[in-house]
Amino acid sequence: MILRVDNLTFSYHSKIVLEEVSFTIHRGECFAVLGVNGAGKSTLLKCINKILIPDGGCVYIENKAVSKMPQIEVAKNIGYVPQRTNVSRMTVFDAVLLGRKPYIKLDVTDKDIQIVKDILKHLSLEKYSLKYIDELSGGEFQKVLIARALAQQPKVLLLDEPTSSLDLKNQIEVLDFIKKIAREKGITVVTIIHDLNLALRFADKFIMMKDNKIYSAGGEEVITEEAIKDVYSVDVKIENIRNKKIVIPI
Amino acid sequence: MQVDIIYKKYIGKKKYVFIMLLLILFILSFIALNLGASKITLIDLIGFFSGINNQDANLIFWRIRFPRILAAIIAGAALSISGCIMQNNLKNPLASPFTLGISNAAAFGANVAIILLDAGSTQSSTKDAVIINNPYIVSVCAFIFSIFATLIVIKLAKLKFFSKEAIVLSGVALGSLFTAATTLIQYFAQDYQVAVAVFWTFGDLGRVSYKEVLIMAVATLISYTYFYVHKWDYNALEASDDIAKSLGVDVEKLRLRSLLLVSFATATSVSFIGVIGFIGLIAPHIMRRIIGSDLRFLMPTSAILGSVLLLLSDTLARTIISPIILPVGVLTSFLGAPLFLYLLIKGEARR
Ligand SMILES: Nc1ncnc2c1ncn2[C@@H]1O[C@H](COP(=O)(O)OP(=O)(O)OP(=O)(O)O)[C@@H](O)[C@H]1O
Ligand SMILES: [Mg+2]
Repeated sequence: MILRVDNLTFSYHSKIVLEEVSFTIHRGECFAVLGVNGAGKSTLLKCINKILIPDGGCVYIENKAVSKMPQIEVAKNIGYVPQRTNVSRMTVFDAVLLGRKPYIKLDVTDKDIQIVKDILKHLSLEKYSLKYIDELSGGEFQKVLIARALAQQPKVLLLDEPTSSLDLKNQIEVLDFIKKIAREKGITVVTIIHDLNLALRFADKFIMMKDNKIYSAGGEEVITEEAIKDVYSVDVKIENIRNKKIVIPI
Repeated sequence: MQVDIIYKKYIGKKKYVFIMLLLILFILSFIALNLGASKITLIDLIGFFSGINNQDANLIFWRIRFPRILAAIIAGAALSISGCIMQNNLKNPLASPFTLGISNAAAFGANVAIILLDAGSTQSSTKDAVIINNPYIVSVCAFIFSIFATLIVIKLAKLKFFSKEAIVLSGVALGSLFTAATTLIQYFAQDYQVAVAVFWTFGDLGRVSYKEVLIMAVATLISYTYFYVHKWDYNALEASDDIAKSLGVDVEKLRLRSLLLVSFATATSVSFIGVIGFIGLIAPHIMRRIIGSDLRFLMPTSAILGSVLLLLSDTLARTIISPIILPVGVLTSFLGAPLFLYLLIKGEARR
């Protein structure tokens, strides 16, 4: 077990957003968090890596309470891609190099540069390396954010709609790449994703959120026509095509 | 070509800019040392090195011009680094070392010393007869009020978890409060006291001797060391608060300490030389255009550019209508305002 979320509660001012959220994730698993807009998914991720401080409950990484770790320790364990962020003026290489921040003492080492170089290559971002990130397309920028989180070499990756701006090819390529290194390096991935079919293709486990709570959690079996009707209020048909579950809205 | 090699080249170029600026500063210091109301140049000093004791040259170089040049270099760097950190921390290109209201608070402190504690006097009606009897009381008062203002701003900002808006707003509010208080005590003061107080407010580098230069240097160095060690935290902050947190930066603590150290360095300079505007705003601004917002390079280059600009202004102030020496604060504002507008308009056009 690598990540355990225990009875997490959070509210903005007095508006409750998370209520007694608990789940456990094992090493190397890919988790998809599903739910309607405003269900509290992004808030959940931010509570996991202490961007927001939860009102109650606790998050554990390898049995260590995150709330007791210094922020830099959290950063060495958890990488994060936000849903949206303002774009500052720095080059792609510098932006990804920033992912090495938790490890940098005073100056970057050749090892840091090497790690960034490799990630840029894997995500086909090499040709942009000296381009400013405020001059990138939405999808290119999103890949830079993912590259930065990977440069962090975390044990857990929190991705908040990492593929929302990517084209079909990039969606598949990027998610496959993330899945591959998750397998190779034993990284656990928690990703918020709205495209159910993409989620089914990528994730091993699913968390469905409804009304600030977890509606259901588990393997592919929790994605049912009834569950989707309950959570999204949409009628769908689920078919098996080539042994893969496909969700078709009707 | 390999990405890492391209990147290292790109970084190398930025280091070049730093070296160039250093060279410019060096040459400028040399020129400044040779210019002045008395027509003494370094040639006269050669006698000093070869053993002939030229008292006048000696005095003018080592007691008047040299400490003044050092003061320009240090104060310029202090203001510019402070501006650089403020602009980064508040993500506001208009932030400066005085955004927290330090200049107004320091001026108020000086007014308190000069008017209420009677630390100033005039001897006759000529121009440079304005004398500050006890410059240390004035400096100490200015410093105390600057730090006091900073602490209030920080206290207020803390209520809002150091949000950028909270810091800027409380700085502005406090600044105008101190200005109002200054006006109030000036209203009840004697004419000569007001004259001395106003004179103090124009930043002027002629007031310092080696001792003050040393204190300013130490304060600046302490702050700069902290900033330089945390350059990557500032770079992360450049991305966004959330990203900085996810990269392990304790954002609130960093802001708190940065504000304190910026205030410390700025207040020290301001207490000794008065308010010198625009350097802390414009030097980081120009440098950001040239070198980008990477604090690794922006901090050192801004520091040197601040020194260059202040030294240049001061040299002009000393020589432009020699033998009268203008207060450099007046000159930086005169030069700074149009330069700033130029940058603003040029920047707009490019977008
Ligand atoms: N900074 C904030 N202050 C106050 N309320 C907030 C804040 N951020 C989010 N909320 C509210 O909290 C609730 C949950 O927001 P959250 O961003 O977690 O939703 P989400 O599940 O990520 O939605 P989406 O799918 O649209 O991204 C929403 O109702 C939102 O209005
Ligand atoms: Mg969201």
